[in-house]
Amino acid sequence: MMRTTCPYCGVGCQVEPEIQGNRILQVLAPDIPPNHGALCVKGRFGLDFPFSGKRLLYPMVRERKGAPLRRATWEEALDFAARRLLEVLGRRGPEALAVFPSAKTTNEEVYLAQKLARVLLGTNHVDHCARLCHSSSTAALNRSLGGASMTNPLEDIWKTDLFLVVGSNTTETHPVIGAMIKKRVRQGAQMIVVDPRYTGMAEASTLWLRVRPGTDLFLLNAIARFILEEGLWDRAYVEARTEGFAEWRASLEAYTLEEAERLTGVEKEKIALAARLYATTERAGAYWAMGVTQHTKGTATAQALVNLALLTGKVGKEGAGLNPLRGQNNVQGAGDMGALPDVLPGYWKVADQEAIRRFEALWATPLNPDPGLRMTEVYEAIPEVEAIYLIGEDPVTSEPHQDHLKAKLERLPFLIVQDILENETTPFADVVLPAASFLEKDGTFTNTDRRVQRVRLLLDPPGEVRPDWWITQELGRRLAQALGRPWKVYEGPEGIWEEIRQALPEMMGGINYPRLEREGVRWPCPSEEHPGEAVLFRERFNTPSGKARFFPVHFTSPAETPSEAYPLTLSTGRVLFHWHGGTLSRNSRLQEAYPELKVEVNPKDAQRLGLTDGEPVYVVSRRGRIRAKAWVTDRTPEGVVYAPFHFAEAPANRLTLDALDPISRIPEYKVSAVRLEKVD
Amino acid sequence: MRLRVNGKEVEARPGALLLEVAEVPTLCHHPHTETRGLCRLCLVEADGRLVPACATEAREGMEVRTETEGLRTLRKTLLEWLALTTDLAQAPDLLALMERYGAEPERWGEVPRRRGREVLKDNPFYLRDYAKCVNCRRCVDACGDGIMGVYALTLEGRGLLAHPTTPLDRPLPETPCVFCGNCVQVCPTGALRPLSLEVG
Amino acid sequence: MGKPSLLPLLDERLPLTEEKVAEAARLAGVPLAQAWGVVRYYPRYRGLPQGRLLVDDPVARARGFAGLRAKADGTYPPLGLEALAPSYLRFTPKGRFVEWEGRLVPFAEFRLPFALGHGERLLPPEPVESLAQYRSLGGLKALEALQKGHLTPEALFQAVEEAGLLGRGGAAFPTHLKLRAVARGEPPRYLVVNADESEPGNFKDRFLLEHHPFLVLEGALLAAWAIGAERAYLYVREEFEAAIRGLEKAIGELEEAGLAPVPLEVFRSGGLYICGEETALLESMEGRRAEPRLKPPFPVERGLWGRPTLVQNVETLANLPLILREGPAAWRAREPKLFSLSGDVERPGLYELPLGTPLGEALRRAGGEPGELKAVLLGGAAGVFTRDWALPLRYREKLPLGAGALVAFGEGVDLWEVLLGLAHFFQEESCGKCFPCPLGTAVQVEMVKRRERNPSLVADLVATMKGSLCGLGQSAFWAYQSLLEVEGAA
Repeated sequence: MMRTTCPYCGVGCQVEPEIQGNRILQVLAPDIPPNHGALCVKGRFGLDFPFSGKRLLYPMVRERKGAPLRRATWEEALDFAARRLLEVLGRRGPEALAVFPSAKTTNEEVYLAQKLARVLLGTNHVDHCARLCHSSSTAALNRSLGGASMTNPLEDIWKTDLFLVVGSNTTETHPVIGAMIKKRVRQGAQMIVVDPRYTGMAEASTLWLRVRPGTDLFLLNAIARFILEEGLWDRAYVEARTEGFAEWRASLEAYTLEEAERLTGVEKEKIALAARLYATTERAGAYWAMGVTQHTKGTATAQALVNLALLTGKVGKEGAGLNPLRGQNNVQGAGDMGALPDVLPGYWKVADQEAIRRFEALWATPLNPDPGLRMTEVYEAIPEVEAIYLIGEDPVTSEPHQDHLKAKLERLPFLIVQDILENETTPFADVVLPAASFLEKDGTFTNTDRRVQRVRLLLDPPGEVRPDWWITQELGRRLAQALGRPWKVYEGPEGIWEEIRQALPEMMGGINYPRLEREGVRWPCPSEEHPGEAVLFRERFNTPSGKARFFPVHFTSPAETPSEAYPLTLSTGRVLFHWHGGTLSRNSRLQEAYPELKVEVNPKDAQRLGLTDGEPVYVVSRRGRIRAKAWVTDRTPEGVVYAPFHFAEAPANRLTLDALDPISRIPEYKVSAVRLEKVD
Repeated sequence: MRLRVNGKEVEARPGALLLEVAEVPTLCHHPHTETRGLCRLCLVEADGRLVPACATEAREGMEVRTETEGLRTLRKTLLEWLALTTDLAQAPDLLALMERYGAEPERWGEVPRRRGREVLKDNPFYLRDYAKCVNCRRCVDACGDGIMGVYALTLEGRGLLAHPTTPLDRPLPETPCVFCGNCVQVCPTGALRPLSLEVG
Repeated sequence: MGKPSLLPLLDERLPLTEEKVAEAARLAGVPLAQAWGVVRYYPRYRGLPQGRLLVDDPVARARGFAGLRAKADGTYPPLGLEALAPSYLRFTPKGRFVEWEGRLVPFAEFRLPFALGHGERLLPPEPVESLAQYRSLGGLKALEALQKGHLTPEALFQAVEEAGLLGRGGAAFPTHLKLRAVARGEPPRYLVVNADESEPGNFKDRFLLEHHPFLVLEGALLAAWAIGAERAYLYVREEFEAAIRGLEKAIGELEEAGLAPVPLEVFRSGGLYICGEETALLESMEGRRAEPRLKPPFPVERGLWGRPTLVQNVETLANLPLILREGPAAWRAREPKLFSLSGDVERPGLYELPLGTPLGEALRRAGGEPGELKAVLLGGAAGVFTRDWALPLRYREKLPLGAGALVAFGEGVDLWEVLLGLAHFFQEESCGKCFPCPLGTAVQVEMVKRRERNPSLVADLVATMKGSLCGLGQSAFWAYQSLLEVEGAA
């Protein structure tokens, strides 16, 4: 079968690329979930990056700092990598090593990479890029509901009568879901959009709340307070299914509509209307993304949404729920597979006795019960952290405060970069391991609504390229041999999946490769007869008490606010045509459609600066400056400039600051203070 | 629910379209666009009336005929007219249907061509070749109400001259087009084609 | 009513620019794509021809078309001027005019000469200019009865049923069934008066609108009130500017007199033949290209903005006051029908005749002599050539009556020339939505040009066009087919 799963975003569109020689003739989409024949520009026209001239085609090693990378055989490179890792482990112990599996790789590969970290290196310094996107959501959802994923399936969009979309530019970042929601709105559903920018969703909304950047939390708390005041909350639900209500309720005192209007800039009548609509529409689903999470109060904001949904009884019901739209193709899977510092596969806490028993039995190794460092903390911990095994990620482009990060990487004694394409981080590597692209291997991805779907080998890897699972397995084999620890060697991804099923019978027990032939299956799926759970928490939450918990959260100002020298707020994000660090999309046909950085500038700000549309401009923060083309548009509100972060030659993350959320440790990508300077 | 198709009794679920219970050729119908009932290739005789199978629900006891002499003539003729006016070179399904219905387009003599229309290449992803367009509107609907809600395509003109165009006839990059290519996927005649298919 | 309709917004902005189109789209709350599709569909937004225009109707085709055409800069579709044909128009940047008795009369002032009307029940003895005049001629009785509570919707439905009134637009559907069906639907409900008379050879609605607006409005109000309509629209052919003025004035008088139980509004049509097809008409009112919808659902269930809607022809509604005044039985005894007679008769004009009058007699009333005629085109472009002089002119006969057009052609007329005009007309007016119609009408023009008589080819054309989506394509071959029959019989 020529069918596989699109490697871009978390929608997990099924694609059928027609490949001839070294090019893709066309990409069609089959009429099965989740996309039912629809695609976006990336899936349709952006899948040709595996044919890019920037492919890494053979392993390389740097014998010592300062020396150039030189071509090596697999044998040489893997031996070298293993030796260096063992050396750090021997000298400094497990805490000096970190492994970052990739949310772009398959479940099987993530599983193997975190297993290598835990079983062979004994470290829980395991994390992935969700740290930079939805870690705030997963933190809030986990502590309140005991589970971190969309509570409702995408099919529920067709049953939803009101969408509450907060900080999600869905039509550009999850275009196929955006199209589904818009169609449902055309069929008569309402849509409240909370966003400072006039996005495609705002355009399609029935009620747009244009909040000032970073004030969503205040708005959400005010909505909750108003619902309580009006008696529109679901008393029976709150009593039967939640705890912590009284304390939380008391915490809302200060969040009046008047204060909300003053702070968010949204008329209080509109806030009241939104509150009434959300409270009184039974099938009301909340959808959100980075606009909520990428703040120093990201966890608190996500929590405010959770609180609001619990207050109105929206969780565990069809057509409603709490639905964080996941970014990467396999970011759901990466979390599921335990690519996190505090949990093992299946979200078992590393310190949990039952978890330790279960995984020690399965892996036949004692496990480290102490949670590890999170990704942003690992980089901070350099050079205490001496070695990083980095898979499929370009932190130089994606982490905040780029110059600071580069300085850290320069001081990192040993870095393994395993990737398909050369990127901004490759120059810092001591070992480069060329990996197979999504077209060149088998495996599974798990999409945003928990659907495990097949990835299929449709093309032989070029050069000496090998799939990530093979590379990790071979590296593991060397480490295991030296350490005298057990390490199972598999012939292919299906074998690894079988081990995952064995590890997580309640979650994945019913999902096997033959079943995935036809279409994806959603977890939890405990048996082969089970269809896969659509709506989570119908009867109980996955907490010890079975109840969901309210947590009081409070508004705080962003870490950096505009000043005289830096009077504008910079918000970063993505555009339709590009993907994250640009490694994939800018090496595909997409590059032609959107070749350079454009920053959105409100016409009023442009006028003050004497800036015209299309004119080059410098964007300057306390941390650096980049050059961009000004796009003068009222999509962005006055006082706010918006810059996508895909462009290595003009990296928006040179400007952002590394202020972190205290709980999720996510950086505040959505708010930093900048000014614009004309280019002479 | 039971009905008869070409004399044979068949079972149908309530609400099923005749298209689902009877095998008939289609062209404009697509499960994910709302276009239906335009091309008339799927017309059948239901209880003596001509109805489009793609837009007619089966009813208990209905008597359906799919290949009467009149229907065969209609399909044959329509296909002949399409072949005379439109470039069907990249519409293999239609060419197969022409074979099946014994189409002989030349019997109609001289017939006006669809005004055509040089190939439009105005973006990095796909081209528009309206000499091949039969005006089924699947692209327009995929772009608009049916799937995307983007509305980068609309229709120009009336009658045989009608064909898809963009708002204000602008090049696609100057329209709301998001280049999802869903229009390309639903195009049955190769009027919309990915540039990646072009040699060179 | 959902949102402001696109067409009036565009009309206010003529001549259009891209910015004005975008502005109209924004105000109507529709995508620019939709507005552009509309602009590229309707002639007045695409741009009308300019200069001296020959009205290309069947009569002009019969009277040396090439010579007539040579004296014009272009042609214009039939405009209800057949009784005066051949007619020339003048379109200039200053406006649109009819050439009439050596003068240029602006559309807004041009009405069919009153003398063309011959009848007494539906047609008035003098042009009706005011409410008082209408009352003095016996009008308003039913409307006043309604106001006094002496009439119930059910009584009206009953009367219409007993009268056996059939739709006068051509489809001859029992009016009481439609009235009742809409009345049963969920509110809001609407009435749309189909005053988009565009069938070549017909000018009865035009005449009624221009000379008897209160009768039409009384009928519309009765129907609108009886079905519980929230609003009644008069969808009037936009070229009938004088009629539109008269209607708007009459509406004002009725409202002022407190005699309008339902709000009335004039909607300027899209200006195309297809706009008379009831679902295409609704599409144009909703601001889209006037293209027929798939039926079912029928407008009585899902019409304007998806609401139950009664779409009814002008003449049909004009009969309602008459039925209530005369009583259904008396009305039925001599069912009045308006016939538009034109062509080779001595006194072309509008004749009110009882249904069932034989064709020959109808012609003779207008001073025509069947023996001297080659054929009559019955119904219009969507009509048939016939020489069956004994044919009773009524519905459900062997030949379709249409809306009652009779165009007579003398012995010297080349009927193939007339047919070619009709074929061109259909090709021009095919909306292009379904496949058989735009293809078939184009093929038909070529066949008629070469006077194709091959029966199997014609039969296949017919079989295929029968599969068209709406009545336009389904009837576009009637004249062709009938001409071959008339030729064969001769």
